[in-house]
Amino acid sequence: MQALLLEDDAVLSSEITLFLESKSIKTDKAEDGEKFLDIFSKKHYDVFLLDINVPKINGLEICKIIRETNSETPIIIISAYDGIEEKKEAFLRAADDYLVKPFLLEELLLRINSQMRRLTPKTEEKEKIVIEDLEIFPEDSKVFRGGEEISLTVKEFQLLVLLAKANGRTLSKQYISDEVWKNQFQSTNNAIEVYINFLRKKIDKNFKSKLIHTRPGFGYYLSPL
Amino acid sequence: MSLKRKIAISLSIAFSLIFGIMMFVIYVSFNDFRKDEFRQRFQKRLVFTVNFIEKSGDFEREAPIFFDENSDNVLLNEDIMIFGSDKGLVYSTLKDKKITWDERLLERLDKEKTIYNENSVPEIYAALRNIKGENYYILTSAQDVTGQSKLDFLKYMLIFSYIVSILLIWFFSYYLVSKFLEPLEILKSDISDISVHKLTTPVIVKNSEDEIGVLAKSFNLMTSRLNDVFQSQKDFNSSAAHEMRTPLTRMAFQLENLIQLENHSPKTKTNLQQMLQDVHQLSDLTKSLLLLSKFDKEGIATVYEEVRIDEVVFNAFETVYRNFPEFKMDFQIDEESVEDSILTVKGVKSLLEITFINLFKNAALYSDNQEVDISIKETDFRIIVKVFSIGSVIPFDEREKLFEAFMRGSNSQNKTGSGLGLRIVKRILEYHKSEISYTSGSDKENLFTVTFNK
Repeated sequence: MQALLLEDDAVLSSEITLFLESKSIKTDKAEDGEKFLDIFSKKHYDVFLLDINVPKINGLEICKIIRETNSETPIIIISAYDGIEEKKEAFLRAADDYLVKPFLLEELLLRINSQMRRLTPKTEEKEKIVIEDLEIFPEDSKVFRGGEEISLTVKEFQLLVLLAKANGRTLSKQYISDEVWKNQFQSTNNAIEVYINFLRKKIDKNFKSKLIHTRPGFGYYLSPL
Repeated sequence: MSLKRKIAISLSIAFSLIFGIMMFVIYVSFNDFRKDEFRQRFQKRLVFTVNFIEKSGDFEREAPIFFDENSDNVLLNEDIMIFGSDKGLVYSTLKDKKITWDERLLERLDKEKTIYNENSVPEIYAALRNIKGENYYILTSAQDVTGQSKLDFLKYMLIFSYIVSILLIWFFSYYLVSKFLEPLEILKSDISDISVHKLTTPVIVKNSEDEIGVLAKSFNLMTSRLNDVFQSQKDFNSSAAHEMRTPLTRMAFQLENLIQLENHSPKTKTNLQQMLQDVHQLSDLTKSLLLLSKFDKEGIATVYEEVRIDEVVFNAFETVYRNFPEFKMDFQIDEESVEDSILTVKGVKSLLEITFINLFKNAALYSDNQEVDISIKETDFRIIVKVFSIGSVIPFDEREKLFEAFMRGSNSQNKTGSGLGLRIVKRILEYHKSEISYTSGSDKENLFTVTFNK
């Protein structure tokens, strides 16, 4: 894999390069926007890493210029600015990710790999779970019922996916606690019931057909009756 | 009380008093005039009577005819008594009535010569005159019915005029003051709309030449300057954030590469990892302080969103877990929570996450078992989050200052920390009109209770 880095700080630039090259990602560097464009025009790269505040042409402008000719290659902005305005500007220019300094270099690596996976052509269709009029897209963290999108928190979504993938099997509270909350619940508390209740209010409440059920003494299951 | 009301009431009271005094003066003056006029009529009558007595040959025989013939000239309800030098009654106009008089009056006349008793009813005008060598005591009594009725009429007119005038004065004072102060009311309303987030909205200046126009212009100038200052401060904060993060990032990257890419003794590796942790802690602190400086107590409510407290807790845990991989959390929802609990508060999610990140970091650093127990209870009006850990407690005498800046408890020895974490927590919660308290059930139990008002 080849990366092109735009960073004017020499220390940061060499540390990022050192780390990425230790992970077999060959990295070229540019300390200003003009030099970046010069290098960019001569070679193909798999990922671009752009600081915003650099001399001559800033990182956001560079992002826009890249996208004029290349809509595929992932662009990750690495910046000390953490304001929502800067993030908005970056995503408006079609950046794929935004990391605020300081971050763990490991995290940068994870983000690069995540972006590369998105580029890999998929042989299978995106995963989709359908139960009656309920549609769950685990990769996109989206859920629809009756064509309307339902907003769930992260834990509610994880709970729903767990129940949906069980294909109607009853899941015990302990199992749910282990899988979704990784043992963060005391076994005697009612938190699972509360979250099942949250889920019922969002998934079942406005619909005639109820999907989430309790098997007293055993646990919960998701199935049309 | 508003300025408008104060001015209107003061003016009305002043006018009422002045007007009242004027009315009183008019009444008293007219009464004095009436008395003077009546007294003059008494005097004329006396002169008339004296002339008659002087010119008459047989006064006692001619008097009845004289007084009857001249009845047009008499005063209303006039009675005349004439006494001789022996103070015996010589003549009286009182017919068929028992005649009485006050002897003391005749004695006073010897000294005073003329007496006018204006306060009696009827009024009495008495005089001692020497006519043709003889002393005559002439007593005349009469009622100034006409004058009195005029006086009464004047009195009622004055009272009526006073009441009507007062009502008109009070009404018009308030109306005119309201009218004149209307630009000030508009200015007050415009100023009330201005906050630190709307400093660029000027107040409208209709007439720039009067005092209110000058005041409005000065106010606009002041807000414009304040806006410049706030903008500079915001720009400074943003630049400061950027400038502080760059050296921190250098240190973080160099440490991470040192740890990962080179061989070190276990001790060196531990030290390097600790230093990396410190750098990230400094970075978090910088982020907290700069985030806090972006908000103020007034404006923060305008950016509130609906925030699920449980999600905030889980996100905060994930953040702390990255730097403390041994850290564990036990989470429960109190059974006494209301049935339809929604675990949602209005607030700024990023700030609330910082609150719990700081509390969890403290638990990770200071607890004996790197574990924190979270309990959430929702009532009709509040959401109460309890953050419990086992470890050395804050001594009783240090608890009062626990949430002050740079306060580090004696249980924090040999642990890194800035002393600002809890101060930041308290400040964030104050912005959310929420509270935090610390209690300890035993010498090993630490309990922070965060209370959100719904």
